[in-house]
Amino acid sequence: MIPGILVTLATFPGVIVHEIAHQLFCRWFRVAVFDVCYFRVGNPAGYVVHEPPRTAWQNTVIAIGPFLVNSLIGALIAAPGAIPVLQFESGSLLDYFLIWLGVSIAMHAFPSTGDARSMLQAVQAEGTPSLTRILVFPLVGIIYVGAIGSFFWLDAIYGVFIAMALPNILVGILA
Amino acid sequence: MDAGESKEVESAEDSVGCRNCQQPEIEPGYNFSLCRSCREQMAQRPLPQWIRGTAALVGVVLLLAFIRFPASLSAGIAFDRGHRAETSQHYTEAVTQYQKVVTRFPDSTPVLVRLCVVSFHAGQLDVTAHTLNKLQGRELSKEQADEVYTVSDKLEALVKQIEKLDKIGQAYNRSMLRSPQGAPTP
Repeated sequence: MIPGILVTLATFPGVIVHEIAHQLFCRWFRVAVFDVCYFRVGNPAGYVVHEPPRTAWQNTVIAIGPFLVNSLIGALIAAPGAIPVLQFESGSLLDYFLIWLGVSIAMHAFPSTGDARSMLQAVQAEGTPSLTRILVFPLVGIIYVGAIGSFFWLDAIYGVFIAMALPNILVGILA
Repeated sequence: MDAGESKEVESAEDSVGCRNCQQPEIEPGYNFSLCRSCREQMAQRPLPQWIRGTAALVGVVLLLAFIRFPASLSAGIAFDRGHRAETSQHYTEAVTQYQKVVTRFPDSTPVLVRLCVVSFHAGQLDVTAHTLNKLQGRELSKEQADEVYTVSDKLEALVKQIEKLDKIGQAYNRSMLRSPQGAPTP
C-alpha cells in the first residue's frame, strides 16, 4: 500500500489550487477568512477557516467551487499531453509533465468531509429555504460518497479520468 | 487523506461589537459579528508571495497547454477520422488523415503502422516503402508486427512482379530496336 502522505506530497499542486479556490470564493462572497493553510504534511493537507457565509448557496459554492476549478484546470493542463501519450504513444517529457500536473490538480478536486459538514450545517440552519435544502442535501450525500470512495482511490481514478480520458473522449466527439 | 477543506468558525450571536476591533457598529446580515472594514480586510486576505508564485507558474503552464492543445487536438481528430476512413475502406482519405498526424508526431509507431497499411491499400507504394523504412528496428506489438509483415511481404512480391514486368518490357524494347519492321513475330 502507498501511504496517503506520499500521494499528497507527489500531488501537492492540487492541494494548493484547491485551497486558493476556497479562498477566492470566500473573497468573491465577502466572507471573512481567519486562517489559511495551503499545504502541509498532515490531514487535512490544507484548509481555509472562514466565517459562516450569509446563505446556504454561498456556503455550497465555497465548498464545491474547488471541485469545478480543480477539474477544469486539471483537464485543460493535461489535455495536450494526454492525446499524444494515449493515442500516439509519442509523449515528450513536457507531455508527461503536463499529465502529472493535470492529474495532481484534478485528483484534489473532491470536496472534503469538512466541506460536506459545513454545507450540512448551512442547510440545517433556521431560515434556509426548502428548495435550497432539497437541492443541497443530495450534494452533501454525493460529497460523503466521494470522501468514502477516496479510501478506494476514487479521487485518483477521477483525476486520471479527467486528465487522460476526457480529452480523448472530446476527440471522439469532434472527429 | 482529505485534500483540503473550508472550516467555519462558530458564530457568536451574543457578542457585542466587532469581534476583531470591538467597534460597536457591526455589519448586518452575517452570523459572525464583524464591522464592515474588518470583514472587507479579512475577505481580501492577501495571498502569500510563494502562493502567488505557484499560481503564476500554474498559469504559465496553463498558457503553454493552451498553445499546445490545438495541435494535439487536431492530430487526435485526424487520427480518429483516419481510423473511420480505414474501417470503411476509404484508404486514400485514411492516408491523408494519417499523414496529418505524422506531420505533427513523426515518431508515433501506431500512426506509422496505420499509414503503412492504408497507403499500401491505396496503392501509394512510395509512402508504404518510406513508412516501412521508418518502422524498421522498432518494437511492435504482435498485432502490429503481423500487419506490417503482411504488407512488407505483399510489397516485396509486388516489387518482384514489377521487376519481372520491367525486364519483359526492356526485352520487348530491345527486340523492337533490332527489328525495324515492327513488333517481333510470335
